[in-house]
Amino acid sequence: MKKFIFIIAVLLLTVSSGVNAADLIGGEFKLENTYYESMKEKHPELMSVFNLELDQQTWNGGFHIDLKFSDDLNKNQLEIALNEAYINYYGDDYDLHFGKQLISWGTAAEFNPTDNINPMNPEDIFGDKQVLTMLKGNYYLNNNYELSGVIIPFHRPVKDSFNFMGNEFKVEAVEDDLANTEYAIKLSGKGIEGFDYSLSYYHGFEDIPTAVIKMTPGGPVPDKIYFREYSIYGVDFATSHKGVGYWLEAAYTVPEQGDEYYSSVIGADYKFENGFYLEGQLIYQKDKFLNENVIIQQGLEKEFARIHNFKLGSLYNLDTEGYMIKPQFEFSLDDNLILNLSYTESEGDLMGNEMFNLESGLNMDLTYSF
Amino acid sequence: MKKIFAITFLLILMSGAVVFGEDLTGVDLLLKMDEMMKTEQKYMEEEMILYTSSGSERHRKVKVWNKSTDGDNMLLKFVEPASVEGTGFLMIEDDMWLYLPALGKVKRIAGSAKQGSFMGSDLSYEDMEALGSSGFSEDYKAELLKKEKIENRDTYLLNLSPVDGELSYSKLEVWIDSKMFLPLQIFYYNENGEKIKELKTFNYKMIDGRWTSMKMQMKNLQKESMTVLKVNEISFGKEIEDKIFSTRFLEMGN
Repeated sequence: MKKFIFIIAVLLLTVSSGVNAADLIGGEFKLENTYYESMKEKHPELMSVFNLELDQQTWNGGFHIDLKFSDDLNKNQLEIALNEAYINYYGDDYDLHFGKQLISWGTAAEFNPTDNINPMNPEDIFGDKQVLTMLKGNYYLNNNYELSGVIIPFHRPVKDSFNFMGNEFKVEAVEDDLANTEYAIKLSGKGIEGFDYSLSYYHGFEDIPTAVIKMTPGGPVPDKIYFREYSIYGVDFATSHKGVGYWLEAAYTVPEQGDEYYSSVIGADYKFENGFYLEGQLIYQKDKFLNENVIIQQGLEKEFARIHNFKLGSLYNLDTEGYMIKPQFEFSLDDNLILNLSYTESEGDLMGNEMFNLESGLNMDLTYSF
Repeated sequence: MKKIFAITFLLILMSGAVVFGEDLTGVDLLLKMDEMMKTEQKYMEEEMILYTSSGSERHRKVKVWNKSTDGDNMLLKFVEPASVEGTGFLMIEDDMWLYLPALGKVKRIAGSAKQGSFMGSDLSYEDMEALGSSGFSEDYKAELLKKEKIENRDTYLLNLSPVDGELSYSKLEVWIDSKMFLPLQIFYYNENGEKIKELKTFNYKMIDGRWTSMKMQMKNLQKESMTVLKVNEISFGKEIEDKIFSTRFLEMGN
C-alpha cells in the first residue's frame, strides 16, 4: 500500500510541476519467456515487466525515478519495486547525486573486480545489481582528472542466511550505526596520453556472510555468522594501440579477520573491417572462500541485415572445467521494438563457487521502449 | 531599369565564369572545400534514417557538438528513439569513448572501431570525421580531372588518392560545386578499385555566412542499404565550451 501511495505521490508531483509529461516519462515493457532444462514437462516461465521511468535532466541537474512492476504470469503474482530514485546536481566543477542508485566502476567487460559498491542480485547473479541509498560526489580537477567519493549509510547483503550442513542459520546483521558507514573513493584520469586509469579504495562489510565454526562433541557447529569488515584496493587502466583495445582491472581485498583475497582481469578487443567485433578476457582470482580460478571469457558480435545483431559469449574455467556458451540474436522489429532470442548451455562451476552457476535454457524476450 | 538588370545579370554570369575558369589546381580546390566545410565549432541536431536492402527504415535523432580549435573534438548524443536515448559518443583526437545508459558507465573504444560503421549507419567513423570536422586535404592528394555539370551545376571533378595506407579507401572521386565549394557527390572505392559507396548532398543553405548542405545521403552499394542525414538545426556562431568535450558531459543529461 505504501508503494502505491508513493507512486501516486510521485505522479501527482510530476504532473503538478508543469513539466511536459512527454519529455519526462519513459521506460519499457518487456515480456520474458524462459525455459530451463530442469523444467522438463512444465510450462516455460513467463514474466511481464513494466519499467516506468521519470527522468528530467539538464546541464544543471535533474532527477531519475525508475519503478518496476513485474508479474509472474504463471502464478499471477504482481510485484512492485522502486528501483532507482535519485537527484543530480551539477556545479561548475563538481556533481552531487543522492538517493537510491547504482554505481558501476571498472574498465573490464561484465566482470569488474573494482565494482563493489552495489551488492549483486541473488536472483540474477549476472544481471543488474541491487540499488543502494547513497551520496555520491565527483570533483573535476580538469577535463581529464576526477575525484569521486561515495557514502553508503546502510549495509545491504546479498544473503542474510547461512546454510550449514543442510540447516539455515540467521546471519548477524551489520548494525545501523554511524561507525558502520561504508565509503569509497576513486581517482580517475581519462585520455592521459592515450590512457584511462583509476585507483580506488572501498571500506565496508562483505555482502556474503562468513561463519566461524566450532567443534562440539556433537560435531562442528557455526559459532558466529557475520559480515566481515573489509577494505578493497582497486586499480584499472585502458588504452588502445594500433587499433586494439587493452584493459586491466584488479582488486585486492583485506578483511579485518581471515585471509586476504584478490581478483584481476586482463582483456583486449578488436573490430575487424568486415564488422566482426571480438573481445577476450583472462580472469584470475582467489575468492573469499580462497578458491583459486583461472577463467577465459570471450565475446563475438556481428550485425546482420544492417539492423539486427548476433552475439556469442562464452566462459571456461580452467580449474573446475565449468563452462558456459550463449549464442544470442537481437532482432530490431521497429525503432522501439526488439526481440531477443538466446540459448545458454552451462555446466559445472563457472567461477569456482556454485553460487555463480547458470542453468541451461532458452530465453526469449520482447522489449518495447517508449 | 531593364538595362541595369541585364548588366547586373551579365556581371554575375561573368564572375561565375571567372571563378569556374580560374586556374585552380586540385589541391587548391580541396583546400577550398575543406575551408567551407571545416569550422572551429558547430552544433547540430540531425535526423538519421537507415534504409535496409529489404526496405525497412529505422529513425534516429542526434545532437552533435564539434570543436576543432585544439584538436578535433566531437560529442554526440542520441535523443530518439527511446531504445537508444541517452547513448553518447565522445571523440577527442584519437581517443574515443562510448556511454551506454544501461551500463551506467563510460567505456573507452578501441581505435579499430573506426573501421566499422558509425552508430549502425552507412557512414564509417572515418567518413564522419572527414565530412564533419577534419576534412580531406590532410589525408588525400588531389588531382583535378575535369570540369563537368551535374544536376545543372558546374562542378570540378577531383580524384583523391590516400597519402598513406591506413585509410579504408583506395580512391575517392569528388564533385565540388564551383560556386559553393561544397561536395555535391563523392564516390568511394575499395582496394580492388570497386565503387563501394556513393554520397550525395542536397538542400544548400547559407548559414552564419557559409554554405551548408542540409541533407546528405550515403548509399552502400555492397549491402544495398542507405543512410540519410537531415540537419534540423545548425549553428556555427554559438560558443561551445571546451569542458563539453569530456567524459563528464558524455554521461550528463542535456
